[in-house]
Amino acid sequence: MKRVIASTLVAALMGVSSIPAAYALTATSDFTVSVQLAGRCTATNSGTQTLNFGTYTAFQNTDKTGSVGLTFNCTRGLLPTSFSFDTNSYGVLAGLNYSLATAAAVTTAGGAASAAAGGTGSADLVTVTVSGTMPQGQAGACGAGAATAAACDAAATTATRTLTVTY
Amino acid sequence: MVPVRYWARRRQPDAVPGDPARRARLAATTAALVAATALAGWAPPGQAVQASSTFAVTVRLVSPNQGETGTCRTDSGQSAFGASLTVLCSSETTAPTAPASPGSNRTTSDGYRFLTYITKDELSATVDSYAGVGTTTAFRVLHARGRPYVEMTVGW
Repeated sequence: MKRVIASTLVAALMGVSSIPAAYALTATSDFTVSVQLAGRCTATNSGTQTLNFGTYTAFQNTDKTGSVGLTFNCTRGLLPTSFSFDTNSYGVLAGLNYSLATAAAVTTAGGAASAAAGGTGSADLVTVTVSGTMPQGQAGACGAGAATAAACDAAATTATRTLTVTY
Repeated sequence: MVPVRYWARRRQPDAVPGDPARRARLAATTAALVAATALAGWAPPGQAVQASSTFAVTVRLVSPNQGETGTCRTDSGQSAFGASLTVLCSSETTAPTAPASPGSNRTTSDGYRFLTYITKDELSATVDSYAGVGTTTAFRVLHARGRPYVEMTVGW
């Protein structure tokens, strides 16, 4: 009788802790991950690009043109809706009138982020081409103190302009 | 047996030692800084935002007399007495955009020298030596084959 009772107790204890000691137990808890993304574009080559009209000969009978590509890193999927220049799309350089215009932006899609270490993805690369036209037949104007042709012709004249992209 | 563990919540040490008023002021300042930082780059949903890029525009202006030759032309033809005659001169080495056609009064000449024929009535007129953006440096009347021509040399 004692042997039967002992066997029953051992069996009962084994039933309670039937998982081997090396096994881990798991418990789960759901939670929410949340973020609010504010899309942005950032100029990547600001201040380093030049729209060069080259050499303009006073009263020349052809227009002078030039162009420059400006690039922006943008949040993926963000599309520019309009472009504008500081003051307006015209300007005067060395006494020469010129106009600026933009072509449609060209977007190179960035890589999507991935759920892995370092999988941050990459931005869309948006390139905006700014073209300039300097009409023909203009006299231009020499700089201060450059009354002679040699002095007037000595150097190029440069101005800084700003393109603003709205998206 | 499954081990069951209990964690007693420990009291957090004071983040900012000192009196409660000082802690309150520091908390308010921190909150204001966080709010200002967030608002600096914040735009209401659906509102357009902008990005700007600066670039340089450059040109080198040279005088037309840098060229060794030039071309002058006019389309005015034979005009009435007292009328103005417009002559366009350029140092561009390219050909004139509208070459003279045989029989027309358009005359071209290299070296900023313009030559066209005139009538005897026009000869009696007073010559205005002003030549627009250039300066008339020589002006004379030539006779060839019994016909008078006026030659004008323009310089800058």
